[in-house]
Amino acid sequence: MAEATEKGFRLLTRGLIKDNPTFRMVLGICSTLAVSNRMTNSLAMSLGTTFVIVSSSLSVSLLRNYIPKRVRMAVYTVIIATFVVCVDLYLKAFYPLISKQIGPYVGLIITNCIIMGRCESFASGNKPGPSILDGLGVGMGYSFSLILISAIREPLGFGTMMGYQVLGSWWTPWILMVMPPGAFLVLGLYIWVLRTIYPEKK
Amino acid sequence: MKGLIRKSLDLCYGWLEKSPLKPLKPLLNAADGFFFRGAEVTEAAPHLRDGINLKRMFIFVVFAAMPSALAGIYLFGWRALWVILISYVVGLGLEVVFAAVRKEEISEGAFVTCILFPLTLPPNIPLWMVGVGIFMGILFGKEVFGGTGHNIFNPALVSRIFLYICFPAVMTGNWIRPMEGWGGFIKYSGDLLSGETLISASLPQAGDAVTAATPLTDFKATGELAPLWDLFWGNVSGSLGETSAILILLGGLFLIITRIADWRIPLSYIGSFVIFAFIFHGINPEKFAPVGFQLLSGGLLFGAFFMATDPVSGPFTKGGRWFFGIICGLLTVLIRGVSGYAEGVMFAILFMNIFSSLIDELVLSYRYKEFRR
Amino acid sequence: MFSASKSMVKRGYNFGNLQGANFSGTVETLPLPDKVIIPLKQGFSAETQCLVKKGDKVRRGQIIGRDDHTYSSPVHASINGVVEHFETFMEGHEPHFGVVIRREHGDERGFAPIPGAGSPDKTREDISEILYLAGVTALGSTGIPSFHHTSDIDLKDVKALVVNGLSAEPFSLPRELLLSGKIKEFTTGLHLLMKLFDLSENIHVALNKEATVVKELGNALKKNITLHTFENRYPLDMDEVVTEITTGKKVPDGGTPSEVGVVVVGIEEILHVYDAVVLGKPLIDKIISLGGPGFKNNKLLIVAVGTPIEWAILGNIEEGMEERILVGGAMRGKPVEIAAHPVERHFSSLTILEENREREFLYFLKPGFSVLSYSREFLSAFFKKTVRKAQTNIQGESRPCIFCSYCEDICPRRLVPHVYSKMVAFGLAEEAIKYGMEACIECGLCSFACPSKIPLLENIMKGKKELEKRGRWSHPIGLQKLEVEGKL
Repeated sequence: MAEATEKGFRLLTRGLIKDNPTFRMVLGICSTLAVSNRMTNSLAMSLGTTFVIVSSSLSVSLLRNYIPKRVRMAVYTVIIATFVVCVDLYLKAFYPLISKQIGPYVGLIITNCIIMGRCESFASGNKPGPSILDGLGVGMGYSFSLILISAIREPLGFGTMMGYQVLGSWWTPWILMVMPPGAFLVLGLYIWVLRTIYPEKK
Repeated sequence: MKGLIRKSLDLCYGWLEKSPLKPLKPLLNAADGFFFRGAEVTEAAPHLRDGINLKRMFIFVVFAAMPSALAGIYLFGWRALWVILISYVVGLGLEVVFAAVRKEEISEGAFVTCILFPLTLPPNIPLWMVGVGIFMGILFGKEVFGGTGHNIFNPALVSRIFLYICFPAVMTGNWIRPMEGWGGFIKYSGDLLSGETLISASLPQAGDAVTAATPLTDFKATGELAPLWDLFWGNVSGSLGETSAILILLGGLFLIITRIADWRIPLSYIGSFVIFAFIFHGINPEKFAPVGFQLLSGGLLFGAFFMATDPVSGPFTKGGRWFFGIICGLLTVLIRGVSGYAEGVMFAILFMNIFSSLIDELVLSYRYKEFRR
Repeated sequence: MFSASKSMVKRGYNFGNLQGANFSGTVETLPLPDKVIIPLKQGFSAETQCLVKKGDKVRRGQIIGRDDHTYSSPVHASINGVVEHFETFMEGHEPHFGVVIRREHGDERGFAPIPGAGSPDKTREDISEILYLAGVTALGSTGIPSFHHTSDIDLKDVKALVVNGLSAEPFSLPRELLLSGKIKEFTTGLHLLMKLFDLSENIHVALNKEATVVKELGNALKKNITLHTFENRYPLDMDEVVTEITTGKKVPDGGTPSEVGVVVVGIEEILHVYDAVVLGKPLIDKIISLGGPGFKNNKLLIVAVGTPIEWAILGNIEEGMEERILVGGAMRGKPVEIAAHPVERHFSSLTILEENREREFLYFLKPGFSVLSYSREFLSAFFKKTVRKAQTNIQGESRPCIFCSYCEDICPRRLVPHVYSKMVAFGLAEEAIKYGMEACIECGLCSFACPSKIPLLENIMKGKKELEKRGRWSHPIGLQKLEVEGKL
């Protein structure tokens, strides 16, 4: 039992730093750059993406023995798209403001390579339990990176945090930080720092 | 003097060995190397070495930029000196940190970046912005690529474009008219240490500082042309070091005579700029200003002599340099005339920096085609 | 192949007025040393078989080593004396065998003449035999061809003869000075060689434009001999380059002129031909130049072959300096490891440079009237007449390449040394072939001019060696080529 818990725990946590999809594998960059300019957007995006990863991992894992090998990609896409539409409609219904801001990027979760990657590399060969944990871990890693990036971008770019003014009126906003290039710089710095602290194993 | 410096350096070396500040040894090495030439001798043929070294090359670029820097102080007040000093303190500090972390020697390249960058800034820029700019420029323009000699873009221009995009209001909107008479050597624009100048972007309006748009912005907005004579001597508003054409030419000629800058780049850049500006002015005189005005206003001369000639970020082949300059000239004319920006030198040079290794590869593959059968 | 011969004349670098490179035309004679070491392998020659035993009495000019079956030329005793012992010494990594002769009598200059010599009217076969017996055939970078095995080129393949009268390398033998007062000897020697090679055209003489003898020589030479004058630019005096700029023939990359049927001989070697055929004198005395800031007096010196180098430079070294002794000029010269190393018959100059380890104060701010520099950042660039100082200090600190392209500008072959250097450092030597690395003639100007003090030539040579090891590129020359072909 203890062993199983430990294994589960490892599955859950490895996505945070060691196999972080954004910082370590540099996957899902498109949405990372686009939505991480505000913390609220980041949170919405990370929750949505985590939900999609977990549910599609679970579905794929349940269906793994029934999906024909040749058309598996198409099947994954259909499954992922279903959940993405769920997220999109949910946001539109309950958080129209956020939905308006990150609008197209929600639909683009379908093309996020992290999700397809987890389905292909883990869920299609594992039982539902571990698949959920794995999806949750990776989703957390993605969320973690989004939050870290927006934690720098939002104060510098707007002087705010979660929409609240934190840096006073004297602050001159760094407009570059609002634009995707600023996310590139911040993401690069994070990757640099993390790779220096946790060097890649040869 | 000489002995005293030697003795104190030796003392510092002895002290540093035992102290916890040992990672700062590159700083001491740099000081040592600044005052005293190395003792190294050649190991194999050829047994002779040229007297030139990078220290001299880079210091000469600083010398060449000196007239423009002094003109900046003269025209815009002592504050310009503070801008330059802050650039040096932050830039060299970052260089020392990276040298200590990488356990390498401090490279002299930062000396050049730190003088060229402030000369491209508006005179009334908040001082903290200067620090942020040079920090970001050296970090993302140079150090992330591996330090001096490995950068793709000109670090001084990376610093400037960072500020330009981050703080467009400060970088394009607020200009002051140069001072009259003896100008900056006896006056001071703005209030140095008040909180306002240090951290806010609002204009220091004290003293003789009067806002005025740069000639290029003026032209863009109203179609008005500044007198050429003022542009030549520098009696117009603009960035610290770019206003006086004659002093830039002086420094640029010094660079060319000492063979630090290749004459091909300024010649082809300015030449193609003049030709294209002439053509486009003929086609559409409303959007494209006359050649003489365009040539002397804005950062064209400064960019052509000091920025485009950076050997690291530009192409190294002769043919490549001609091509580089010609395209830079064309782009500058187009950006100034057609785009929303009043000035296009920085964009043109940075844009061409991307292609410089590609240009080199094309030139080399043509030159050595006999070897590629 | 990469043709650059036309632009080559304008390329390269004129070192200008160097301290210790001014020679007067007078030639001094060095007293014979107490003992000489005669290496059995000198010049372009395989090791010869020793003909003497310990205790044998030998005469000046007597052949003491000869092997008619391999590619070699005889070697001679250069003093009257007794064979004292045999000595093995290392030259690089190769062991060499030398005969040590102790002098018995005084400063006797008489010698055993070559049989059959004595007048300029000889048949082709006679000239060949005399030159072979005199050992002159071992001169030149790949030997002078004769009816014996003396060069990697056969006598019948010789298509052109180039006389190299240039000496642009700092502190190399000032060849044009040897001509003053010896024009007649020179022309006679040249005609003898023409007869030997059976050439009546394609004969080129290259000379420094500013040499005083240009006019005199031009009048003395017959119409079928072309006299070319060039500016004093290094590396125009390298054999490959002088071949290209005079004959227009392209020497294969990394090869020797002999591969295109050209024999290159220096002016001093023509004079040795004259000495051998007309005077019957074997190659036992050699004119070498002592140059460089390390000598008290720079001079031309007649030295007996086999004289220890320390004897040749005795009492002439500047005191109080750490010196570096080189055989050859300051660019391509080889450092002398043992001062007792003998002067061999193919040596033409000895150079002493100052090992300057002084840490000069604020060096990079000096106006630099006496600094030797390709760049124009020192005042010496604008005052051409000032005397420049050559020293071995690298005068700076190693830094990364900043693409200043000085190496590219100064390269006589229009190559890009900094690109090769980087490629070799990244282990991409194969890639460097595509950019023409094999066309490098190893003149060393790139390393000289580099402001970042990168040892470009060393890196290029490392790359070539690596390629050879991987079997990607090999171009054996000279004796090595003969060995590969199984002729040695």
